[in-house]
Amino acid sequence: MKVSELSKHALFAILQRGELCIDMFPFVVRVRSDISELAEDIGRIYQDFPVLDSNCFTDFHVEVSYERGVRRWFRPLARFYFDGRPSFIPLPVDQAFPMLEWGINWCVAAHSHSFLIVHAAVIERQGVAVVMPAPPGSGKSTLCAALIGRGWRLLSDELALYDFETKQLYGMARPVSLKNQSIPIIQAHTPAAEITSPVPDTTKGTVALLRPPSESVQQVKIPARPAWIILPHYQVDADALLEPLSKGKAFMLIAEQSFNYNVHGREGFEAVGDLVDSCECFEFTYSRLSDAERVFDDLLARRING
Amino acid sequence: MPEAKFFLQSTDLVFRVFEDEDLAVVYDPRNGSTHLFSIVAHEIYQLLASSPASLQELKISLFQRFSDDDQEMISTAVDTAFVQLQCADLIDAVAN
Repeated sequence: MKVSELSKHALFAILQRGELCIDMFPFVVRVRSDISELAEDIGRIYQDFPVLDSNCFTDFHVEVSYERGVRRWFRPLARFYFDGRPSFIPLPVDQAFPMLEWGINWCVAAHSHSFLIVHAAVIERQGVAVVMPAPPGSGKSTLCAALIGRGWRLLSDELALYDFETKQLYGMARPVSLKNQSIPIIQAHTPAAEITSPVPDTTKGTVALLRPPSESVQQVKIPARPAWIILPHYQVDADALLEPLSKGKAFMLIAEQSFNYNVHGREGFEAVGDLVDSCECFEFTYSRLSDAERVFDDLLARRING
Repeated sequence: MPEAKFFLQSTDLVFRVFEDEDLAVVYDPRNGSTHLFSIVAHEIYQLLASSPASLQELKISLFQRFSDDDQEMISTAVDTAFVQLQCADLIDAVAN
């Protein structure tokens, strides 16, 4: 069963009971909430995700619920719980869905050491993947959102999961987090894209979440072979410029952007080395998404044509 | 006064050298740190792994090994890599 097959009423009831188990391969997340607006966002944005039996094994038990107490009635706040314990400070209730997303990201990044986890967007086409590690503000999510609207498969806009054994990438295909100006830019670029109402005044500015393409969710179990590491830089009015990035620098960038590189010691060092060795590495400056699409398509064509 | 000789603090360092690149990364298993060095640092590491050597001896070894290249350029590169290795606490002077 998919999330979309549940009625609004049924979805909210399951959420209230803490029985919504969503298959976010390679993890299963059990979600509880008493916030009806959150149920609506989950129903809409996670519509293509499989719902598993409530008795199944789950990797993460999370909850986003109203902060208890009288305050709920004059300034409602939502709080994130992990394994029943309150985590992070409560936030205004209109930030419940972004909070759920940030909380799940944290669960994966902090606990899932069976993968090397890198703060990076990953997209794939014809079996080969682009890894875009970048600090906030570099435009990686915007670029990722634009390219998945033009035929690239979404693996992730936040967390690249690198399998130590197979040297391939997974990504969960979860919603893309758009911030500030990238929201109207993607709305204009991909009018059919389904995006939540923008939530202003979060710690990251105004945030909205883009529903992952159905095909990306359906193919979530198919790993992708890393082929390029591309460090994007959005720069106003810049012409597209793709420049080689030294593998040594790419290594350090990946290591810095990894949540658990240090946890793995030498194995992490070798994994990052293998990832970088398997990729061509570039820095990419851009301002126009159409340029970016052309550059990425050219890279793919060059690889396919040998 | 004889020139100070240097030795490796650890012979367990793990270097990763990328093809056609002038930078290399090294993992120090003593503390889990990772460093980005010039490829010359890898050459120095290999020389010091066989025996302690002074800076001048290292340069002479590399002049002989890369005899077609400019000696001044090699000397400067060795100085830079040497400082990188010292700053990362990977080499130290042999006590007199």
